[in-house]
Amino acid sequence: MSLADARVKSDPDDETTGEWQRLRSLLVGAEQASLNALAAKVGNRDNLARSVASVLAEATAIRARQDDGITRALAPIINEGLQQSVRENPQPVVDALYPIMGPAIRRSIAEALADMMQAFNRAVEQSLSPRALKWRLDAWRTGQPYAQVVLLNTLVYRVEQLFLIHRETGLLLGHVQAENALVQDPDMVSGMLTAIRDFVGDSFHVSQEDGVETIRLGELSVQVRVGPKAVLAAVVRGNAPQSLRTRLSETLERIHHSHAVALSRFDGDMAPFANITSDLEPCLLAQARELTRKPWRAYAAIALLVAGSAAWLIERHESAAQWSAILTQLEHEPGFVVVESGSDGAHIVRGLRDPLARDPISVIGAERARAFDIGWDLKPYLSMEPQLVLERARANLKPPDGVTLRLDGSTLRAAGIAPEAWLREARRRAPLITGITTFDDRGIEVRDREALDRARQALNEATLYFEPASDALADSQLATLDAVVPNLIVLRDAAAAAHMAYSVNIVGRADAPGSSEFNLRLSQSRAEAVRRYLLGHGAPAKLLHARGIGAVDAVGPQANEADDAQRRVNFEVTAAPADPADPSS
Amino acid sequence: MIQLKLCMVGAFAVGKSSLVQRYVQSMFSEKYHTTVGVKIDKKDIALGATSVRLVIWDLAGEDHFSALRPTFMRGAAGYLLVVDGTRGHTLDAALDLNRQIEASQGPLPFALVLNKEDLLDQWEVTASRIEALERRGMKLFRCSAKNGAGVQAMFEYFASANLEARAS
Repeated sequence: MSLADARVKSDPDDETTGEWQRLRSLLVGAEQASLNALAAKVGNRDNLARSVASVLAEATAIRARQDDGITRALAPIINEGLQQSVRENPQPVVDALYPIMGPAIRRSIAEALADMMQAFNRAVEQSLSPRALKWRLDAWRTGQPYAQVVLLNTLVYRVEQLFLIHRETGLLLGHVQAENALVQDPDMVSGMLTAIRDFVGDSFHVSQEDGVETIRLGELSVQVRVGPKAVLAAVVRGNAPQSLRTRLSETLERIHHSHAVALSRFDGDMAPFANITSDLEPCLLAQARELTRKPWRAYAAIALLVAGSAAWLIERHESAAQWSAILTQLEHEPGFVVVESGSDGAHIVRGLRDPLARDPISVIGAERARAFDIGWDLKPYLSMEPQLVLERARANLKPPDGVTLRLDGSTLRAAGIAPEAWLREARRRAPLITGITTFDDRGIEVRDREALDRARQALNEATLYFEPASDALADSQLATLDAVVPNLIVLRDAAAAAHMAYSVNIVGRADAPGSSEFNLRLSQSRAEAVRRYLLGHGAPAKLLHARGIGAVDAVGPQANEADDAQRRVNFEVTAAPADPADPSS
Repeated sequence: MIQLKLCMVGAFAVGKSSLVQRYVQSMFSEKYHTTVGVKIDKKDIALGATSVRLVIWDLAGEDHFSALRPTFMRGAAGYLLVVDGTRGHTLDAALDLNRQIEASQGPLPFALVLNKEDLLDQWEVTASRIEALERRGMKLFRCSAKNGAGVQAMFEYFASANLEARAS
């Protein structure tokens, strides 16, 4: 009986089941147990998880060694998990990153600073060092850009241009150039390069393969590699190393390989070579000269800059303080109003100045005015400050010596001794002066009137006596006469000052004896004699009028006078206000 | 873009360089003629959607029936034989050069360019001779370097003929 038959038979028959089971356990009992255990492991999630967990790390490590499948599978999960974690509660991520971020940022900053320092140093070096000056000179001399000259001097070599040339036609298949390289029309250069190589080949009977490999001209060389279908020419500045030639040869070989059909069937169609630049560009190599020195120039420049800035700031601060002191001074000066002041660049003061105020330069001092080179924009105005009002009154009234002016509110008080003419004028003008409403001249003593009065009195009292029937001036009388002269002069001057007109009558008299005609003549000639004498001694002629009145009547106050007293000459001073319009009066 | 190498050949002083100098981009001076023996110029032509760049190898003229430098002709898509209409022997020289070129390069498209059309009354090249050449199937252009007549047409003909040959 086969196993299959046994099983078919066992199913409907319950009695035989127990036996069948026994048989089975006898036959495959051990396998059954392990199968059950396996099923329990796989079928139960917990058990399965436990068993996978026990090998998960090892399995991951093994797979990671094989390929990047795990990385690819995990990347989006980790990304999403991270995002969700940050969304829900960023703090743990922040905490976790904290110890990394600090050093990372510091390092990044340090590197950036180092780069900047290096770049700055280069810039300083290139602009300050004697070498840089020489380079500038070279640039100026040769007409090349300065950057180009710097490049030439700081590079060991640089591949500036690459030409891929179709060997047979000399047509340009591809061209690349380094940044800032001086490039002429590459198509024509390609043709000419081919022509020159042909020319040299023809002239010296050398085969194309052995033809010109290197053309050198000063700093510049053309490295030529020749392939069966194409030529690769590199324009190199500086000293090209052997490794560059190898690199060029390899590139040319690779192009021959990748473009084999296009090259052999080339008929001018450029389409197959559209992307040739990507093959050529890796050959644009360059090697810079090592610059390992400490950037001391940069440090020095920065130190200088800091020192300069500090000095500038201090000076600026001091200057600002002085400037504000100047402005304060001007604001406190009477007769000044500072409306606007500027100190950005030029120093400017705009405002108002009373014409009688002090000169602004003398206010702030000539030295400071020079140092700040101030531009003044001052419009005139009339200040109401007492000091300026008083100054204006002084300028206007011109008080004589001995007169003081004082301002009391808007009242101008004058005191001292002054001529009447001045006083009259001052009374008229003072109230017209801006800032003055009242003129108080009670303190003024008019002096010239007194002198005039004294002179008048002296003249009125002066009497000259004569001998009987004589008009001769006796020696005894001359002293009296001489004293009259200065009084006449005082009279004249005072009269002029007070705008008065005076007249002095010289009145001659005679005594009673004698005819009245005779006496009249005698008295007249006595008056004339006095006038002549006075004129001869400097008396003003205009004032004097001689008149004889003869013998005095026996009546009146002089009736009882002695004859001696009657033979005399007197002075009569008459006054009348002069016409002010008449300057001669 | 299509690039074509076009050679200009002809006897000395037939005006090859003058013929092109108004119509091409040039960066090399005339002295290359006497040193290297060739001067290279460039002319871009747009023919419909296709742009054609003619790289023109202007070969130094030689007055005697001397040998042409065949290396310079290598890879040319065609050539122009330039003749000075006022000097009959330059036509002979051109035909001789043509033979040399055919011998060294095989048959190539070419055209005969009769320059100095502006001096037609002084021409030594006779109309009957020109007709005979045309009957032989030679493509002829009459040009004037002085007033520029026919020059543009000549270059355009060359470019479009090349494109047609490609298409067929």
